[in-house]
Amino acid sequence: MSIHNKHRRQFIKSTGVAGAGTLLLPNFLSALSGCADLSKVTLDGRRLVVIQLSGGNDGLNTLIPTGNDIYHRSRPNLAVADNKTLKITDQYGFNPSVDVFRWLYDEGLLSVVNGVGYPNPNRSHFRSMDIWQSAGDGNTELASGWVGRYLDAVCKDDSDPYKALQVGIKLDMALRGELRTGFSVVDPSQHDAIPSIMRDQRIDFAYGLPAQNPALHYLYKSVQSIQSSTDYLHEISKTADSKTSYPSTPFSRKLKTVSELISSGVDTSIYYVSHEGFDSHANQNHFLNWPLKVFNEGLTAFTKDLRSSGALDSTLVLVFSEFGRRVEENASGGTDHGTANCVFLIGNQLNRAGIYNDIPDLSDLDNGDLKYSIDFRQVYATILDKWLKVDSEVVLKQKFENLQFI
Amino acid sequence: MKLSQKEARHIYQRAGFGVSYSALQSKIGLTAAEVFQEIKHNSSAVQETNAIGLSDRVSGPYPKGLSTAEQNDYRVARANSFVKVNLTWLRSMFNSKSDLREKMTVFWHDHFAFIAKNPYLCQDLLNTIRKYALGDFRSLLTNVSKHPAMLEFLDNQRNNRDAPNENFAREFLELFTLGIGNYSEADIKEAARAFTGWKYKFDGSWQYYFDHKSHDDEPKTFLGETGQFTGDDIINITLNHRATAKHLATKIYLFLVSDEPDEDRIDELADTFYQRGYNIESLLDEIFMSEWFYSDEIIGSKIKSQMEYLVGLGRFLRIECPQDYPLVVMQQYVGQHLLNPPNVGGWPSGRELINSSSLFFRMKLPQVILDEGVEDERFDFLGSSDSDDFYHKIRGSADISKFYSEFSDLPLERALMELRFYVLGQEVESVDPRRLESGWFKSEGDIFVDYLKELLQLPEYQLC
Repeated sequence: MSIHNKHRRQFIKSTGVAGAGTLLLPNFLSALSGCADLSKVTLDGRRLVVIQLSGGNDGLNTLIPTGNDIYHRSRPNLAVADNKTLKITDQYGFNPSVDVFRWLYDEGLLSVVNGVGYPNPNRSHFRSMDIWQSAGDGNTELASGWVGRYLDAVCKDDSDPYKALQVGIKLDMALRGELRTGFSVVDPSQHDAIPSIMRDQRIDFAYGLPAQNPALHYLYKSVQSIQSSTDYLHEISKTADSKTSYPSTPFSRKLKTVSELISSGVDTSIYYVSHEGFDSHANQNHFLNWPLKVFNEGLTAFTKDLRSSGALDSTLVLVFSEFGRRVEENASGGTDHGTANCVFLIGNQLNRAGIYNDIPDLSDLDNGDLKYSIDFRQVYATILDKWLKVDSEVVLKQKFENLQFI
Repeated sequence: MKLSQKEARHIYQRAGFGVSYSALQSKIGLTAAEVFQEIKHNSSAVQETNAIGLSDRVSGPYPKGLSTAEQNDYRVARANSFVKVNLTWLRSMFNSKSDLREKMTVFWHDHFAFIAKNPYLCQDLLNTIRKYALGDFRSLLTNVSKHPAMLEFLDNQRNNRDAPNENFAREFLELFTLGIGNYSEADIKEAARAFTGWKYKFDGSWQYYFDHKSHDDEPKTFLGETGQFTGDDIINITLNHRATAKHLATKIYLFLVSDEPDEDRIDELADTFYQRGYNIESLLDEIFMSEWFYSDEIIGSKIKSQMEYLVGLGRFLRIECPQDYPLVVMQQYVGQHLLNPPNVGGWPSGRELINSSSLFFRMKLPQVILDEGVEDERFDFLGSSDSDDFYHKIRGSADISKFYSEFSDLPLERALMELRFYVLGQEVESVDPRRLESGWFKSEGDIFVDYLKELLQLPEYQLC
């Protein structure tokens, strides 16, 4: 048997299959038709970048309540000494590993909302992450994600999944709606890599969907959306090249891709980036150092980049984690799973930059954990209503009182 | 019930990673019981992964007093050993006959997801899982829970009477046994107290031991029972709760049978599992010999898991990578870097595996290997030569001559028809080989390979 097939052109051709080929041309223009033209009608080109810190970031050691006796007593080994913090007010200082927050704070580009949680908190990573991503709570389980339901609300069909785009190889539940699913992309400039079958005239992935096999149906639909979105993202991002230098970590590379897509004018309203490794049960000072450092370097490059390109005017960044850590450190020099936590909002259209509200009272705990005062869905609702200009009640399935950070 | 070709193909897809074309032909007309008996027989021996030995320099505790340069050197050696353990396992799956055992080892290693700090312990825990993978769950659970790598990973070494650390107890209840919703936060705290004293040490070899001094021997109340419980009591009590059997039966059903849970069937499986004292083999018997397992609703309806895809492909294309790195990257892209789970919950499955990035990769990989790998036995992965690029440059090759030889005696059109069914498990109209142009300027072998390349890109290939 001899096989010499390098650089051989495709030889197998169709002898005519009805209905084939119509959707196979690069048709990024048609991709614009599926959702309301958000840039004109509602959005003013605004976008949200969600940065998810997976594992439970220790909020109390990120924004530190300096001079608080209970904090120091509860964490004899882990507490950051007052004079080591990046002091911003009489009451608060940032962990020195995240000096990006101090810079953003000084520039009026940061709002820290404290005591964010939900009723009946769940301390399981998976359950709590599901709750944050689905926008349910400890009592209500929702099977779809809030970003996905945003797509459901603004798109009339699923031709533009990249309206909500996760950078990376996975797609979090947050981006899976009831009807629509967001898009994930590693590097849109890698276009040559498209499987040739997607260019194959014989196969119409939209025609005659195999309805009797739901999994196959799902795959055909996925291929369809890949076809149109990949073309679109590639075409539009061709010229993008960020001038800012980013660190070489995967997290920074993801943020660089986001920045390039933004600057090339891609019509995406929600970007989603996940950063892992915050589950600090033991040796936290040593252990947390790395993910926080990676986070800090990446966010520094990203926010400076957006600022210099002017994109920060139309970009809001949300940083959250599925829960905080317990107030008291454990015997392993770490902290166990907690509840309420702080979230960070970054942008230059903030209504109330700075520390939005005080951290919860450390002397009034629920089973050793902070009590929440702001439901995380109020944060989502505020962003949806005021920033993305979509009715939050439709997306979150409940009305939540808006906050004033934007 | 005598198995048709479709049904025989099905059991090999689900109970392993596929079967060769010629072997498949010989199973047609046998019963499910006969075929499954043979599958179990092939898995009766336990082939350990032996990538590194205890005397290796990175197999013991982290040495004290190293200079910065020595520390770096040590870390590089340790990272290389992890790769060696990982790839020894993956490559052995490409060649193994012990399909069912390896498949269930993949399952249990996901169920008991861990990241070891020490490559020897990583290998040792993998071998522990493999040893008990088809036996009784109680032994599996006990030996995995008391393994130094697990005690270290879930911080039980630091779980002491005076200062409990509840990480181990929480994951034990949520992931290993009862499943979420079947215990309270108070149960976690009480179980954590019971698990105090479960420790490990290095004494020329790594060992579990019970540390009386740090064990809390005061009474605990766990799931409504009160006593001076130890960790072994917690194991007994959780296994006495049928919720554990249900939790495991659900996960196994989702792994082997369908992405969509069927409550009635899962309840029956849970009953069997519970009544037979958590015997894993009897649970597998019930699945693979049931009638519903061979129904149209089940066959070809499941999205291939990461290893069903990668090991399946590696086997029949006989993928060989002279360098290690490509095989690591392939695992990352299909979404399951073995022995390196994203978190304690293990890996995603079913539809969660499919998104634009991963589907792209799964459709593209066979083509890349067959396109560039055949002639010059190397390929630039995804056409990139930029070393700074996210898509790393990888090389690999496929050897499909043996695979082709199984079909080469057939007339071409028949061979292509057989190939389509063998690869996809169904007749896909859009790629009917009878519609191919004659291709008179090409050898039959070339036509065969080009057609194979197309089939492997079809969405149907992502199912099993």
